[in-house]
Amino acid sequence: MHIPDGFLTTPVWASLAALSLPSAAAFARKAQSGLEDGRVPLMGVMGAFVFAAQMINFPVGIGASGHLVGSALLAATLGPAPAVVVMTAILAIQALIFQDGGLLALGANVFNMAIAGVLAGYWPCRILSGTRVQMAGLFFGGFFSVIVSAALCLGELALSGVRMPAQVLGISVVVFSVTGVLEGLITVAVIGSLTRMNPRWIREPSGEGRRALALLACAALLLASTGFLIASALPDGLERVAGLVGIAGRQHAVLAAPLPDYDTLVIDNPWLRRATAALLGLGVTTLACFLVGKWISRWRNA
Amino acid sequence: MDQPVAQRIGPGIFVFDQWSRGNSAIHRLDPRLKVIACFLLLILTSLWSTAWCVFPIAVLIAAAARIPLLGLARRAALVLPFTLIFAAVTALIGDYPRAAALLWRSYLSALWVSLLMATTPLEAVLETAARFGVPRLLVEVTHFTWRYLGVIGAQAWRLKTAALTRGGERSFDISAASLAVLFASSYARAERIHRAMLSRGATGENA
Repeated sequence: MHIPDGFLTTPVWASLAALSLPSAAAFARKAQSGLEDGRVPLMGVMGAFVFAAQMINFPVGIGASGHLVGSALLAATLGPAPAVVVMTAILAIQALIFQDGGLLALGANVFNMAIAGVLAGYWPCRILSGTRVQMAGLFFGGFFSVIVSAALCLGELALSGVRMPAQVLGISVVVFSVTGVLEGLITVAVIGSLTRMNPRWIREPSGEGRRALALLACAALLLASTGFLIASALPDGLERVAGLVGIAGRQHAVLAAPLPDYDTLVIDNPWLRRATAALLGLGVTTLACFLVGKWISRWRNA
Repeated sequence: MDQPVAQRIGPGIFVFDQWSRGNSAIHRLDPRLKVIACFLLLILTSLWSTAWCVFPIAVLIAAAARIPLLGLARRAALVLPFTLIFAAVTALIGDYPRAAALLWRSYLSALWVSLLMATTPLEAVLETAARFGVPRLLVEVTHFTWRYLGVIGAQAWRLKTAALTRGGERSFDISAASLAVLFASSYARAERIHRAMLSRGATGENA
């Protein structure tokens, strides 16, 4: 699901690049302070490990086989921030040397697979860690990391005008679900073997009482990405929502007041409005869920 | 085994390494200039609806840098499997102009990136990225990933061969155990590398 250049329209790749670069930088700062010594060699070698792991096939029934994607495994072993850094490094190598994903689309790919993929892989593990169904958390981590990345990728493509008929969309949803289940099973199996070898490789998530925050963030990410997919697959509905909120260029007295120049800012281009609406919606949903989660966790800790 | 083990991770993964050590006028250009030019050409390709007419420029640059044209065209063609699926779907719903645009746009973009990587060593590209504000840690991790890809890839290949000789290739559990072993030895290798770096006086702030 690496988007090459030439698929995304300028506003889509530019806004996602503007979103991913500072986020990746923030995760890099966090990774730098979070891990103990030897961070760069460890993260680099783990990047090479995820690359090389693609050579080992996992048989699934009749002749077919899949391989590890790795975001959930990295999140469970290194922690989320280093996992984002490692996945970003992998995507950069893939874009530069393997022509797997474009250079302009790198921001979009980093957002889909490194940031959203790792967080979607991490939060289920985090929520269920320490409980008896810890392994279910790992399974759902692997599953969601694939599903969220794929939904975001298809949503961005649809926003850029690469439409797909409903049947093809249905088939790809089935394919992604199978890939997701496989990723979940591989993550559980590998972590199971690792725990038998040496339990210290599995990081114990620190901080109690933030489970509600993680749960909400997880729900937000899932909702936002499926919403993103549905909204971009059904542009008419989104147009209507955009019209209601006032983004579609209609002068709604309430909303237009704080942004008097809004109409001149937005170029008169139907899908650019759609893209703005979708990205804005994604951002607002995530922010809202994050704030509510933070408030709940503070209230629980008090 | 007719090709080095690490080459099996991807088709000819070290070909850019060879090409980028060339000694033409284009190789000697400032990497910053080449990175900026690459981005400008990519943006041009994505914005201009008849950008396919600049295709001869790519041929000229490749000829000036003395890079084998056929090999370069094959490298850029790595983008096509993904593109072909989407182009086929788009053509299926009758949007032929868009299908054609997807094909030539993604191929031409891949060609620009291939040209950059064929004339500039990866470390120079990464150094340029750091100068343009990409976090140092990200750049160093990317460099390490590339450096150890061959090493860990060769190890993965040995594990796979060992599993095959024991008839374990068709078992999910054995694949998982192989990956766990690979993870463990990668982890230990990273610790050894770090100690080796320290003992040789590595002073990088992230070491």
